[in-house]
Amino acid sequence: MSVLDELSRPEGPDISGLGLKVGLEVHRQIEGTKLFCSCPTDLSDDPFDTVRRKLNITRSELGEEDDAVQMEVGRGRVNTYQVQASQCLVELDEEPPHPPSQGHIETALVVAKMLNAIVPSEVQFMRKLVADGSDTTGFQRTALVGLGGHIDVMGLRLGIVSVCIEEDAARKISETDEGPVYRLDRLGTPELEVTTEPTMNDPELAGAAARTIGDMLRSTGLFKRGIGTIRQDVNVSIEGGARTELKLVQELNMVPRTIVTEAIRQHLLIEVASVLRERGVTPLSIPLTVVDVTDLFFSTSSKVVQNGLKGGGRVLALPLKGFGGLMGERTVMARLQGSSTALVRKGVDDVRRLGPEFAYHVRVRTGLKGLFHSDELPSYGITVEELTAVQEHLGVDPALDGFVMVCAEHGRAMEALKAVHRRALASLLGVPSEVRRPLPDGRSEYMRPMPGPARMYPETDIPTIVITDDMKEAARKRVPEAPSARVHRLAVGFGLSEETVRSLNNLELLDELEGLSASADPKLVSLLLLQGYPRAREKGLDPSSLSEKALLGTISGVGEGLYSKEALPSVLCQLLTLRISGMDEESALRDARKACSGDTDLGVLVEAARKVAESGRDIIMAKGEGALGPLMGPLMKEMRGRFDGALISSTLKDGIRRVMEGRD
Amino acid sequence: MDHKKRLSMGGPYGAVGVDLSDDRYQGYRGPALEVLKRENVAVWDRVLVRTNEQEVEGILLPRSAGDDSHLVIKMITGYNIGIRHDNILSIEERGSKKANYKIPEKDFPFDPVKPNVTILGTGGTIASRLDYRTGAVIPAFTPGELFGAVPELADIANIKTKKLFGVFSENMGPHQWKTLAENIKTEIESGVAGICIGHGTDTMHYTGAVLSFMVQDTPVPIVLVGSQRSSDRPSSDAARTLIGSVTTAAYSDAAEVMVCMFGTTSDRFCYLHRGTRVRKMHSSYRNTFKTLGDVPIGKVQDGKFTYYKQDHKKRRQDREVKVYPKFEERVTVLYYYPNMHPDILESMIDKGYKGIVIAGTGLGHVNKPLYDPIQRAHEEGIHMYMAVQTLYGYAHMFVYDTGRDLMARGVIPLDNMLPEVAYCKLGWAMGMTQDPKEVNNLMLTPIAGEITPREPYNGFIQGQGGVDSVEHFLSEFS
Repeated sequence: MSVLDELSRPEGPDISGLGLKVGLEVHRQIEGTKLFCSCPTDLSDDPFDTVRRKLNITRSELGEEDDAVQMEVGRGRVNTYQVQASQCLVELDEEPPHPPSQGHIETALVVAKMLNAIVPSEVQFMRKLVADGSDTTGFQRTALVGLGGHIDVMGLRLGIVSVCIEEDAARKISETDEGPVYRLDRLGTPELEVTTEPTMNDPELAGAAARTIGDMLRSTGLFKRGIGTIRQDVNVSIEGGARTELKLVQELNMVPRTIVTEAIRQHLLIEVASVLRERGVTPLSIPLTVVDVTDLFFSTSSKVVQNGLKGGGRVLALPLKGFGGLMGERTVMARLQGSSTALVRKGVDDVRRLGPEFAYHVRVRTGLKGLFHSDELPSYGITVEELTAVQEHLGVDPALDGFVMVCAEHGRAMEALKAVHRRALASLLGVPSEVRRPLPDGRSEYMRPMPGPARMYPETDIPTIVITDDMKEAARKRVPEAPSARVHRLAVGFGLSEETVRSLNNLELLDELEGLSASADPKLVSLLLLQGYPRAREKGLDPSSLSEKALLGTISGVGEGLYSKEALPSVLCQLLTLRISGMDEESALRDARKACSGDTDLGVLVEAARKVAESGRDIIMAKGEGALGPLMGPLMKEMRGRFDGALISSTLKDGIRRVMEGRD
Repeated sequence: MDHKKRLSMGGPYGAVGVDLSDDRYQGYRGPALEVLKRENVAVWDRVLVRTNEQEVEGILLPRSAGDDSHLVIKMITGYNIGIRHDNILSIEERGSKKANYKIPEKDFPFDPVKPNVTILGTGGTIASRLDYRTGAVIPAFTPGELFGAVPELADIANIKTKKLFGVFSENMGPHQWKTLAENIKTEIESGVAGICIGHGTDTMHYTGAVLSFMVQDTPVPIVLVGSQRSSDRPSSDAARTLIGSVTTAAYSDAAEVMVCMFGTTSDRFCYLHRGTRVRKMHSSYRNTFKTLGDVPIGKVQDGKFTYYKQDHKKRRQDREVKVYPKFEERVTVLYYYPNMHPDILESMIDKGYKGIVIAGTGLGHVNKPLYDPIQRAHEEGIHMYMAVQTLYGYAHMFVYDTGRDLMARGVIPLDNMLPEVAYCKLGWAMGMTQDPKEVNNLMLTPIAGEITPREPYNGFIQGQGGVDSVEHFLSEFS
């Protein structure tokens, strides 16, 4: 099967024949204090002090492949830490960890039991080396609390490899020339890591599994909610490819798309390797022969090159025999012409080959942002003549060979081309095993080589924890009802459709549904939650800040005949707006109810719409129903918050029609 | 170099001690040990453990804690878990491979142009590496191992190492101090450019003080060095304090007994503290050592020295050094607290202590009930000296009646000598002579900065900075 043919299919790429294998690591932050001290876990913008440290750690200690960058990772890089009043000496690595909070350990046990995992009878915290400086200690503390469980997803049984409790890393603020800048507010926040078997062969299944695990954890009520509190690392491989770890896929609905894109990327790289083999390319045929071609660009009109040369830079080129047409996406896109809409729809519009991979490696190793490869030239102001001159100078065949060119200070340019060369050699073998960072559009970029087997040793500052049978039993008793069972129970119990309750589950509002429905009509409650909450959140308001009393007071306005049930979202927004203006909750509720009362009287809206339509008679005569747009503004101004936008629009449409039909 | 010892690390952040002996059941006892014997497996074996719930494959690790019920398995994923003895159905052995306790050793390069530095070891390891398969910490002390762990050292000096003892620093005492002094003499006479002493940090300032008296007029720097984060940790300060101290020993102009440790919580520089004015002031901070009542001698940063007062004794080319390895053991410290009962002091007298340093309150005070036993001690010829538990400032015993009363009963104020330093000096002085007048003369004559004629106005606040907000706070006072 040619993947390019697959990509051209109107219904999107079918990757079922690629031998896809996906595994997940779901991380979710536990609510409460930090794991090894009593500091709060809220992110903070408070003033900070700056501490600068280096780590004594080498790539070889991490078991990573590349000795060349050992010193850079080791003593060279400066990690800058922003430390605030809400952090203590533990985060700063100036004090040994305190014993882990008992509550957090219990949470971990509940989850292990919920996922049907076996809990070891003695748990030991380990130090897992982390080289990037995101832990002030240079290691992440982690303990295994569950082994070999399983869950059911989409009717299939999915194995759970392990459940671990660990500390979250520091929050990265920026990257400077000398190294990264981290803030310590997040460091030490407890999180649970659930690792599945790498057996899933369907991207949708992986997405569903991520959601199911996330839901199960949330259903305990022991975890944090909101952006950044849950993330999933996705391990993807295809037949003949290699395991790639995609870090921190935050959006659940991005999971399937990220997997599809990665599977296709791997398939393209396998194709590249096979083309290279056919062309007889071997490591010996692509030596690291860097050629200085600066002389060819003295009178160039390329701005990029001009700027590079101005700072005393050189233009260095690396010939890559046999790589012609394998670097750029241009060639691929040409073959895909006419099918781009289907691809755009599936999120694989950008079929990446070696060009971007080269660029990522150069950026990670040298910080240089750009390179030129022959597949994309002439471009960037580089002319055909210049391209030909370089090709002649390098002695490469324009039809079959390629080259990569960098314009920078000599040493840096040299380093960049060495990185390209290393990546070019790897391409002969197909897919390198690596860690990649997903991009918002489903693609991903290279971050670092895949670490070897985890480098772990015991955290001797923390005594081991013996898990007694009583503790296991207590945890088992605290396992909450499975979310799917709960959806079913609430739907039946409250007379709501399963669809409605599932939507509320996805909005993480089942607790609210259950709580409020004890004292109010579940139908009104679900309307408030399903329509009101999203609308409030869109406006940047936070309904979870309201007390149950205020929410019930909002709902009861319907029964008291103050306003229609359709007005509930408006009342909620009004109430929240008054709250953030500083009014106390009771007064805000009273005023919101008052402001929205009378909304039951549709006559008010009909009358207002009639007036607006009448005043816009000229526009209606000129534009007919097209007058809706211009007239909507004035009516909305008057009625916003009292009636739903859609209702206002349809009422106005009626008014316009009346004017057109001369009924008024 | 003897590896068959339990490893020990200085500082509050120790590393795991690993028993490197050939014991098949290291650390196991009770029912857990019975299981190992029953199943005929030993530590470091690769095993498959079958329990009533699951199968676990991994390496059987030694036990370090006191537990007698669990077997520790390092799984292939790297995690350690404990399996309770009565859950185990069977254990299958699948081979054995002992941890690799060797650091990749390279010959320490010798460069005839570079100065020679000797590192004396008192215990623990200055550097180390990990064996990740088992999680064991591997010590580095020989020059070759040090080069493997801290290669930068070869750019600074030629290194020779000499391991004198292997003790936690709280177990240092007169025997170790004397041995150190004698070895320092030997090394100086052999022509080294400087000496480093690897030392646990807890009592480093005691050793700094004692050596300041036992080794006088050294021609070369004598630098105590340790780490507050054990060297198996990526965030360890060990490599950098070691680099700072070897640099100091090799090139510093200051020929004194000094402590070389972090100056700030950031990795910026090391302070060089005078051995008689330095004190460990925090149980875990990197920059735990402070010079009290003065400013440090200087700092070393990126191979460069800054000297703050220029009052240090200068390096000399000759090889003459006075070494007095003496110490009287029957010397003690009485740390006064309100409501102290006289029987404490009585018992010191009864037990035959010959010298007592009183750490008094304020300007140098104790309560009235102690007057009688103090009088008795005086009459029995016991040497009594007053230091202040405020740590900063001088004993001024003429200001209040109490001070005058105590002096009338034979208590002699020691100006701004730190209480721990006073203990060290009294032990040394009484080791040198039992003659009351000579002891008194030795005690009150400054030898190595233990008593200073004046306290600089900024001595109290110096060195407390290191982060911007504190520096800003301090800047408002200058």
